[in-house]
Amino acid sequence: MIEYFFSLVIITAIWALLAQSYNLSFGLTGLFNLGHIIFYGVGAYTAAILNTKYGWGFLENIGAAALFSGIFAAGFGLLTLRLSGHYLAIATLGAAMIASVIATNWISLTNGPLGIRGIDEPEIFGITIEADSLLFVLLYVTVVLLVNILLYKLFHSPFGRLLRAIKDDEIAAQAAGKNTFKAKTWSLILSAAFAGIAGALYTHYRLFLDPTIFALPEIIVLVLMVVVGGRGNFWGAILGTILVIFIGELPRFIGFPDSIIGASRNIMYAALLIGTMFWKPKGLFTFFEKK
Amino acid sequence: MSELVAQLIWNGLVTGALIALVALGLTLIYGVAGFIQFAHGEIVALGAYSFMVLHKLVGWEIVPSAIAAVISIIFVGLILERFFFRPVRDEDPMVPLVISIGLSIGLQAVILIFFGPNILTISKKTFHSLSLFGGKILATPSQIWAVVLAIILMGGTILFLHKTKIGKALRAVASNRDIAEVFGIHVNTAMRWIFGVGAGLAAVAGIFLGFEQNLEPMMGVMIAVKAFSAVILGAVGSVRGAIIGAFLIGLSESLLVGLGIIPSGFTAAIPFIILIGMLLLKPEGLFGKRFTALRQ
Amino acid sequence: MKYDFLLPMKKLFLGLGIAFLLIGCQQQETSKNSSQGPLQIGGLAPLTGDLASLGTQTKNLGNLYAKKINAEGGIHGRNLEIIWEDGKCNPGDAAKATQKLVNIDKVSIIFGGNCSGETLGAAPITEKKEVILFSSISTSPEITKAGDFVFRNAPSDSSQGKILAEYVNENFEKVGILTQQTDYAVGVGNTFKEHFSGEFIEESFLDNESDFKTRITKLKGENLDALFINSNSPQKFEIIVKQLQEQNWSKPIFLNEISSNAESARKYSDFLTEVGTVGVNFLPPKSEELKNTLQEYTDKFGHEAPYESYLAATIDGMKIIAQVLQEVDDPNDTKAIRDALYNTQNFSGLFGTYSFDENGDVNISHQLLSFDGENFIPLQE
Repeated sequence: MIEYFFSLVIITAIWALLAQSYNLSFGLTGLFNLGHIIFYGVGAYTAAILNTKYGWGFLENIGAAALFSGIFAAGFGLLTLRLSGHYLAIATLGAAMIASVIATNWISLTNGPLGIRGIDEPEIFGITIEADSLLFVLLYVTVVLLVNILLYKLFHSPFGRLLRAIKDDEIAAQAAGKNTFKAKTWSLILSAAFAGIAGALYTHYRLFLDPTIFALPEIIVLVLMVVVGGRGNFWGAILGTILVIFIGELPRFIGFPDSIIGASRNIMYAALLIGTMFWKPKGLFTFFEKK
Repeated sequence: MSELVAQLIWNGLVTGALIALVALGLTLIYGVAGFIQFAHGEIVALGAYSFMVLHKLVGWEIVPSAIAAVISIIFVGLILERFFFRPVRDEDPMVPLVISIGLSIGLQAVILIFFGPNILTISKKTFHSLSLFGGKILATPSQIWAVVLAIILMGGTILFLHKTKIGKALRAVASNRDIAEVFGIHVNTAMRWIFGVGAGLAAVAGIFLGFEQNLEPMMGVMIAVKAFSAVILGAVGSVRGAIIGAFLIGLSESLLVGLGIIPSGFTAAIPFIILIGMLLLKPEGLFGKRFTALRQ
Repeated sequence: MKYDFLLPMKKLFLGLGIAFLLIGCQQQETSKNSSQGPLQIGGLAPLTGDLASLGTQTKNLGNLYAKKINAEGGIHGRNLEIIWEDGKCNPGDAAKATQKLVNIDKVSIIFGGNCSGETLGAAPITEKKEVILFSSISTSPEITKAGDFVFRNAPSDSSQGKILAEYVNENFEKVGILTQQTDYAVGVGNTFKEHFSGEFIEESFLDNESDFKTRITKLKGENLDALFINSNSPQKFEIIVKQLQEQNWSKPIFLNEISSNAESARKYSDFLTEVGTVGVNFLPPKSEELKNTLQEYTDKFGHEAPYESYLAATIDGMKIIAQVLQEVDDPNDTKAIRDALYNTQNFSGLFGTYSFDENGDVNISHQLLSFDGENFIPLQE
């Protein structure tokens, strides 16, 4: 039983990091990038490939995933960040589709639809940490907390305020002499690096990786987490993640017939998303802020 | 060789026509309401399913079932507009867009609960292909109807926007909502028209798509995603741009894969490779300034 | 910066945490799998998605057989119960479902998965917890090496790809392959290509694609002798056949095991018999018992069982599990169950007599079938 609770904590931690990284570029900076899942996937594949082909360990992989996703995002940003609004959204959604197709077809690198197996469990100072053990929870929660503290500082730094200003009024920020393109690119690179870390964490937890990591439902869940909690609000993304994962596990326990478990989950997600937009369009977090 | 190319062009035209019908509704909604309707693919699926119910389960003939299905889906469009999009019309455009994402997963789940996950055929009959142009092209009757009807509906939509009073009103609302209101054009009326017409066009596409590839709850996703790129390709809000974008995607998918220029495993990526390539060259869309029917 | 808003947040997080815990505790109370009450085993199958028809059949059969055992007095006097979870035909969801079965329900045997992806996703978890994973349907060659506690009473795909390739080698020189990009179909395609000596042209497609017109047009232009439809579900096979028919395809067709499905093929029976269709499956020999089981399924569930070979394998699998559980003293002692399974020799079931080898595999193999317009029957050369 306790292991199941642990597994939920671990999954929540990974998604909380991913959602928070998305919150940096989408929520804070206002880049409507529907391709954020690419950076998560790139990080996950970086860790899986380095581990299985070159024997790299857990900590090195986290660094490598962050670095590689960040570099990848720099190129991605140069290509897409001249676009704005709906153009950016559709172009990046398309980029996620392309990423999925590449991961499926580049067999020599990713092993295609057969996926990568035989990934090692995290090993720190020579101790192998087993999935769903208390040690594993502590390790993952620590990593996620550290990165989240970093992100919190970033959100409330002058750079964070500049990003918020770009979201509110980019032209005014430009008029104030800021290089908004550069700021946006950096926001994307940092956000991608953190997403890459989340990807590496996922790889070393699931120990199996295939191209479904880029799938459309994952993109929607990510948008859901950030939008429901509150775009651009640090605590909002965490609230959103916990709510979405909690609701996602509910149908299993309510005892719905199997044939509609998936469907009932999606109906609850839809209700949560639409309800939030009607009731608190800035996110459920505003509910607490007003007090 | 020429037969191969002719058949590939025909395949591309059929795909392009279906994408165009979906893209047309999307670009109209974008032009007037100002956001991309992510649940448009599910309206396509609902069109196909309601036709299947009337034609295959109730047993009506093809034409009356198609007309009844399209009319009922127009009502679905009106209901969505009234209850989901009108209340948030003055919010940040992100709000209706996020609502439409919610509607998209919600409607898919509803279809899944009602019809189950299995793939259903749209009709009990099987249709055999006809040979056109001295056997160079094989086409099913539904494909021929799809192309012909799509062209009529596209022409009709353009005429409607330019020649009728309501069409002109819609264009006025698209270019400036406040000024239109001053001239006595009611925004609610405009929205109703645009969502009704968009849903009707999507339903037509859905019925033909059902004849092409059978019915499944997620059947609208791929075509909607292709239509998104067609709309962006032709510059959002532009009617002619969306149509040209749709045929460009349909034809290039068919020719690039069919002639072996791109391996078939990459088919799903082609619309976006074209889109991203084009956006790098012309960020405002292919017909950014010249060709806008809605936004002048 | 205001921090007072953090206070209600803390309460909310605390509340959610308690809710999670409460759900868990409740679950724990109802599902203690000790020595009293019903004996629970896990079930893992695709209950939603493209292959829901297969998962539903597995679930129906498992429950039916458990009821039968219970009517005869159960196992060690306890009723057998199966807790079903949806593996959705993919490793990720199967892993999540397995985690629940192993950690919450504390089962000692999981009957499943059906799709190879499910079994491979579940295997690392069951292996670590020393829980038996017993599949009657997964055919991926990788399962052979998946672990000490992993068993199956279905043949490996290496036999499927090989037998098809040998048949094609004798009859055709140049073939087209239409492969769905999933672990199952790609695996079958790889073993086929390994043993095939002629020339081939392969076209592949993703799960969510349903438009094959262009690929078919291209293959038609290649002057092929035959086409290998290597899809991941009978549903995709139906769409492909529909579009082949619309493009007047005229060359013979051969199918992988999952596509060799009579119910789907009957919808296009004229076309498929005209071009000539060869399938492959591990068919059980005709027997009275099989006939009765099929009849019982139809009576009970109001429709024919869609997959006959999987039906026989599922029944045999349940029988083996029940027999082994009777043999061991403690049904929670998974090591004893494992040893009992390895020691099961010459088990007599719907597939005749078979035994497990040191990898937990059995000596059943695939055979070639031809479609006669109504059913897939053993191929006569």
